[in-house]
Amino acid sequence: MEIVEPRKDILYTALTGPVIASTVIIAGTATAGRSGSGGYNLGPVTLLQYTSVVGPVIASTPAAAPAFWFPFYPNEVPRLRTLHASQQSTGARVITQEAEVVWSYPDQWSPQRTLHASQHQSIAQDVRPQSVIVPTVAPLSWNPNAPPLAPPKRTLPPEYMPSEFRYVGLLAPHAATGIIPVQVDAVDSLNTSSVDSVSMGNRTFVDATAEA
Amino acid sequence: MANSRATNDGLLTTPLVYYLGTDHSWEFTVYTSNARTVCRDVTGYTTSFMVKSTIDDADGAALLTLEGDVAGNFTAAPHTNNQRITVTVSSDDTDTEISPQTAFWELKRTDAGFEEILAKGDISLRRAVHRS
Repeated sequence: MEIVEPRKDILYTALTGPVIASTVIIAGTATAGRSGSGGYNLGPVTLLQYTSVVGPVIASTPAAAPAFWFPFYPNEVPRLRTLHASQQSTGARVITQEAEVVWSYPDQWSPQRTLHASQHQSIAQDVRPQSVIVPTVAPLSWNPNAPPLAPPKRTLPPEYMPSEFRYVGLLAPHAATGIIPVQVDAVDSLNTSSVDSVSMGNRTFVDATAEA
Repeated sequence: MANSRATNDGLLTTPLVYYLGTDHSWEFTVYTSNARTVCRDVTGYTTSFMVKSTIDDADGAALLTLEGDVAGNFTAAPHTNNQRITVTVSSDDTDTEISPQTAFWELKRTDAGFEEILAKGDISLRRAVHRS
């Protein structure tokens, strides 16, 4: 498979709203990349970078991933729940969250059948309050290729190729402000995906420009 | 389905998803160009968000026609700009009035002498489990 230069698509947004256990949907579009002798391969379409623009989201581990991401398709319902929260003697308030994505797809050998699969992942986050938001010129970032944060690769036969591809992730907003300032860079090795919008709860953030 | 990418006319085309019968808001950040490096101050803009089944439908036949509200503090830098054009739809307006379909949406500035399209795309109108 030819690997082309990754293409970036950036969407800035400042999410505000529910503080914990919010499902953030980064909706993008991935088209099929041709692989080998006419077959199609969806992946890997990977959200390569999530960047906190204004200060670390998680105080204790700013260089670590504040979120993890699952790819899912439009007809899939990601489920997100908080497993437990605890106050530690150090003052840290640790929230353990789990995201689960359940999806269905036709059996390629027997299309009348529907197969189901799921994947889940949990993450413990220290969400102790910060007293000061420190703007950073050089945004913090994390390497999503480091396990277990990389979205799982999912490959489907061409007839079931989705036209839309979305990620769901966990983000811990700033404990004092409830704000998640994010810059999302979506890059994929097939040069086919982009970030279209970011949604949280019943709000969707969209970029606009005037016509040239 | 189109990506959120600039078309030849410089506009960003973004696919949206909306579940009928739900309260939802779309919050638009307006940039000076599709490079999205500098924000545009839209203070005082009058805007209209319209959804149609087909482009050729009369405005009166639009599935949704909503006004946008401008709020937030403007700065030119994207990472500090908090100004948005917010369009809010009520669940009561879509729970029974609109059938699931893929339609077209557009956000337009409607001030006389300054009319221009700010964003557009298609929108997947989906049926939620609840009908009310």
